[in-house]
Amino acid sequence: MGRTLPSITQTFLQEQQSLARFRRALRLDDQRALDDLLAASRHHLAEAAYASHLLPFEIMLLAMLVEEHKQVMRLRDELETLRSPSTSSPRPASGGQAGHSQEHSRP
Amino acid sequence: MDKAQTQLVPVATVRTTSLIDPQAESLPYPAADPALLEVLLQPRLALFWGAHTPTRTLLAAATTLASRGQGLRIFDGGNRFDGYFVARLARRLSTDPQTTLKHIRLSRAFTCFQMAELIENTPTDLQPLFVLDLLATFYDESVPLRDTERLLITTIAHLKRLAATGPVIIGAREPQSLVKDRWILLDRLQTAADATWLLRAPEEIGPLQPNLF
Amino acid sequence: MTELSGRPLAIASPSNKPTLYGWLFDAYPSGTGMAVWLIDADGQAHMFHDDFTPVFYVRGPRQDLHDLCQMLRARRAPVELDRTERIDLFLDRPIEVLRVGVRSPGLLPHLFRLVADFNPYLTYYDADIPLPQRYVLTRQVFPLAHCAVEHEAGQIRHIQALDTPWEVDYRLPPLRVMAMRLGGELRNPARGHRGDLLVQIEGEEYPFKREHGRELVLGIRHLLERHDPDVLVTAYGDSYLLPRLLELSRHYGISLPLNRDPDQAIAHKPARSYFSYGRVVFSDEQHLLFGRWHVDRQNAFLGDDYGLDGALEIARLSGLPVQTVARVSTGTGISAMQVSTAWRRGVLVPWQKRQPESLKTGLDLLAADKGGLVYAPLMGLHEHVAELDFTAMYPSIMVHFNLSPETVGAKCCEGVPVPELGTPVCNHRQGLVPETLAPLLEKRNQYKARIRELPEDDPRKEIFRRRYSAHKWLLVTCFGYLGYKNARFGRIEAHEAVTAYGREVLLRAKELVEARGFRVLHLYVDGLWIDKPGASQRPDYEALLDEIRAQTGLQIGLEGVYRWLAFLPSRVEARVPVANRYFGTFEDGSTKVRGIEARRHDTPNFVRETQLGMLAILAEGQGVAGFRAAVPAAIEYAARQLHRLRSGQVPVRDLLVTHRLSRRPDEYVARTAAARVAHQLTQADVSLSPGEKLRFLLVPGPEKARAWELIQGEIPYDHQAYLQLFIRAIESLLAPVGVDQSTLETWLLGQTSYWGPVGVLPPPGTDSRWPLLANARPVGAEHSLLATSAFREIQRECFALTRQAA
Repeated sequence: MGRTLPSITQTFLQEQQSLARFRRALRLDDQRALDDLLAASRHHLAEAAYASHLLPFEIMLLAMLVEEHKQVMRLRDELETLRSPSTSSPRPASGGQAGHSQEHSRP
Repeated sequence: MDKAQTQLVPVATVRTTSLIDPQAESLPYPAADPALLEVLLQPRLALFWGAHTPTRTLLAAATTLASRGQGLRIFDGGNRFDGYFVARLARRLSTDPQTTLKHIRLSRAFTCFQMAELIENTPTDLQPLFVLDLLATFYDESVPLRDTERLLITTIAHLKRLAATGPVIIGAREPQSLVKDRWILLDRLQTAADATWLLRAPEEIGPLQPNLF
Repeated sequence: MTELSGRPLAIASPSNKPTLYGWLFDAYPSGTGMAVWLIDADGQAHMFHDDFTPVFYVRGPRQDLHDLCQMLRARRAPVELDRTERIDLFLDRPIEVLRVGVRSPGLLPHLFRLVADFNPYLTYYDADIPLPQRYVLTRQVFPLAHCAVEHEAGQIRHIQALDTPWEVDYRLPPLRVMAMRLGGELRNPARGHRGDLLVQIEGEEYPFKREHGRELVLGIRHLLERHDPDVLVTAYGDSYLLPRLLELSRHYGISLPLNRDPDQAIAHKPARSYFSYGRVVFSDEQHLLFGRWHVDRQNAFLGDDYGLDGALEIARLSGLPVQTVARVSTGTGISAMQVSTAWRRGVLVPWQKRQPESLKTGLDLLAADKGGLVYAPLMGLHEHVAELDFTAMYPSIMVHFNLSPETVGAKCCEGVPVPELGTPVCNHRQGLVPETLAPLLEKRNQYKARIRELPEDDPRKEIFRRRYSAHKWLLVTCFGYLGYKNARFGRIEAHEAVTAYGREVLLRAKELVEARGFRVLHLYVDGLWIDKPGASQRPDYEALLDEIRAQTGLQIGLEGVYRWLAFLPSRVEARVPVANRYFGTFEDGSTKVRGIEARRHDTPNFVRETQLGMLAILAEGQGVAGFRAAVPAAIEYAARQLHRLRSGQVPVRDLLVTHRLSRRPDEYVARTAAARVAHQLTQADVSLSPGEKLRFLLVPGPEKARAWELIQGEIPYDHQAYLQLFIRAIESLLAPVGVDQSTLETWLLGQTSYWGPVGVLPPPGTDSRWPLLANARPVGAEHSLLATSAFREIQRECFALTRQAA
């Protein structure tokens, strides 16, 4: 619709491309981890666009961190559930497939 | 019109720059070349043109200047001011990209009349003026060619007025296939410019590894 | 309610002159005025003449204006010249201008050109407003207005509208419609399709053999004279039928009264391709009639949604003639409505938009150049999800916050700052755009209410639906026209102010929603998708909606509560969600689909039908569990469809792929299917322009694809290629429950499954690359026997499958 700045998606992809050499040098397992992080950052494109931060890469890193931390919190909860099943309370999980948890369903 | 310095210097576009670094976004040649930047800062009308408009090149040059504290104006005729590109570059060139961006004042024109209005009404200044993709709006078929041509002639006169005092750097591209009759506009611009650069895509880069034997 | 005329609506006062009551049907330049057609309550058409002097305005230095007048007088141009004052929108004050009235309206374009060439450096206003629109604005009437016309000797002495465009339920004149098309399949004759001409009128169908040209022309003439239709509806009339008829008419020397007005020649506009927002758009040629409407269904911007009823509504509102409205996008209608508002206010309409953007810093641009908020949804299958949508968000924002090209950034008063940007917006007088949009929003709401009230069998319901759809289209395009380069009053600052408010309003809604314990699954410009444990019925959301309305000042409604809703991942990156690909079923059983094959223009009908068929089965399921349970039935349906495909039972026309040409045929480099087809048609002497649509069949062998127009009857199609499309479409539907291509192939091609009957879903956490691992047992001492037998079972399975696949 006649916008001037490149879209946030394009910008993120450009940042991703600029990491190409770093990625290339990584071992295969590490590459997979990096790919997960890069994919995770794309869950927050709208927020990054709204932020209008001068350097989108900084927001990209923060987005990765947010997703990473959510995983940590999820795992922490799962661990608690496993340790003491009587006192656990289910948290609404986010829907998803391989890569996230299984699809969201409610009784 | 004196075309003493029409140079046809093949300059690499941003994307591929050197053998060592085929994928990274390193500084495009023109902006990295201090001699060229010096030349650009003379009061004169400089034109960069090619099959595609050399916006990245000009933006890089503008950002380099802005990061040195030089205030400048940008008139964008092609709706291509890539603010993120400028910000990234500004960050590499200085520790205060915000100030760099503040040194750049810009206005977007979506019709050739708006572009003409911008150029006619802007005061002469020592500050450099960059015009991105000047001809894009002039190629618009909804405006008859004779109107745009007439408008361009007036606009060029004003550009020369401005170039007498401060540097005016213009980017333009060739007309696309749908509007081939508009080549005359690019011709006029080329004739009027004091210095012209043609941007060509680089030839295909060969294999990274030299052969063993 | 806004009245078009400022006068009270009254029946014309009695006078000596006869008065005709009828509907305004057509108006176009003729001699010293306009030819005006009306249709009375009996369906009889009447033509009158109305003297009319359209004007344009010129601004500039006195001497230049003086010279201009001299030039016009020297040429004895039929003009009236005087000086007057009109308001410049951006200066917000009256300025002195020269008014040039052209006594023969038809000469206006030519005269204006003369003047503009004489001195291109002056500023011109009201120069390119279409004459029919000028006429109705000046006379304070509108197309299809019910009018009282005082006339004398064929001249209109006084014309008055007896209704307004703002009425919801209005009477229309009885219209006689003649339909014309080629027999056989509905294909583009310009691409080689030939057939006999079929004409329908007043319940009868008349075929004309194409070999007998003379009889054909005579026959058409006879029908036109006998039935005198008001409307000619054709298929491919603009690009083929009318030009061919005219050719035949010339060839045989038999006149064809396609126009009701014998003094006019048919208006012809050539086809052209042009760029718009980075895409090539093709505008086909047009043949327009006088005293009669020609509507070509194949060349109509009827939005498939609103048809002729909607076009008539837009004509009434915009003042544009019906033939124009039927062919152009609704943006032209909105633009015309802005001109009307300007006209009423005495505001000058600029000819060439010169007002540039005010200088802003690079930093300002980064902050301002954002669009609407488009989030990445939470992928997967969800249940009891509510969708909340702001009603006509951007137009409502423009009206509510008074955003208009002349109010945003105005310096007349302190104003209200735009969120995020801080630009002040004038708040002491209503802007031009809000003034234009407010009554549109109101009328749209009225139609919506009426539609809800009416029973299903009421014939007005469908008509209201169409008019409502036209309103929706008008409102959708008005935002684009705020910043659009050709919009007369467009300014980018206004456009940016609207998106800034849009983001702010959406974020406030999000905050309110989350404060009440809802989770936000997705946000998209003007919509939110939310859920909360325990909330699944409409009343659960009422309080929330009230609060959002109170806090934002805008209307927001509950689109529905989904039984289940699936947000899909990107096709290229399965871990990343995509904003605009989802499908779901509402509580009432209706489905909503976005972005998947069924909604895409290029999808063959058969694939669309399969996807929608499966969706209908899945829609029966309540919640996530219901969805999963419905999968076997959906797969069964898919298997039946697959059987049809593989046994060659699908007709060719249901397998056509559609593709829009992005360049001229000779400019294609790679030999894609579309390139091949374009080449084929070019070889067959068909001229193709960028922006035109191609329809073709994927065929086996080196040919790969063949143009629809070059196919006769049923021919073999490329099973493999269509199988791919088929499987992908099903994958779109079932990806949210972990079904991927290989599983689908096992189910549909292998007709077997690893986890029970076909269609039963894999247990959660199963990786489909190693499906049998789900059945495997850990190898330990106590399990070794099981492990062995499990292993043998696996072996047997693999063997069976391999044999089957062979």
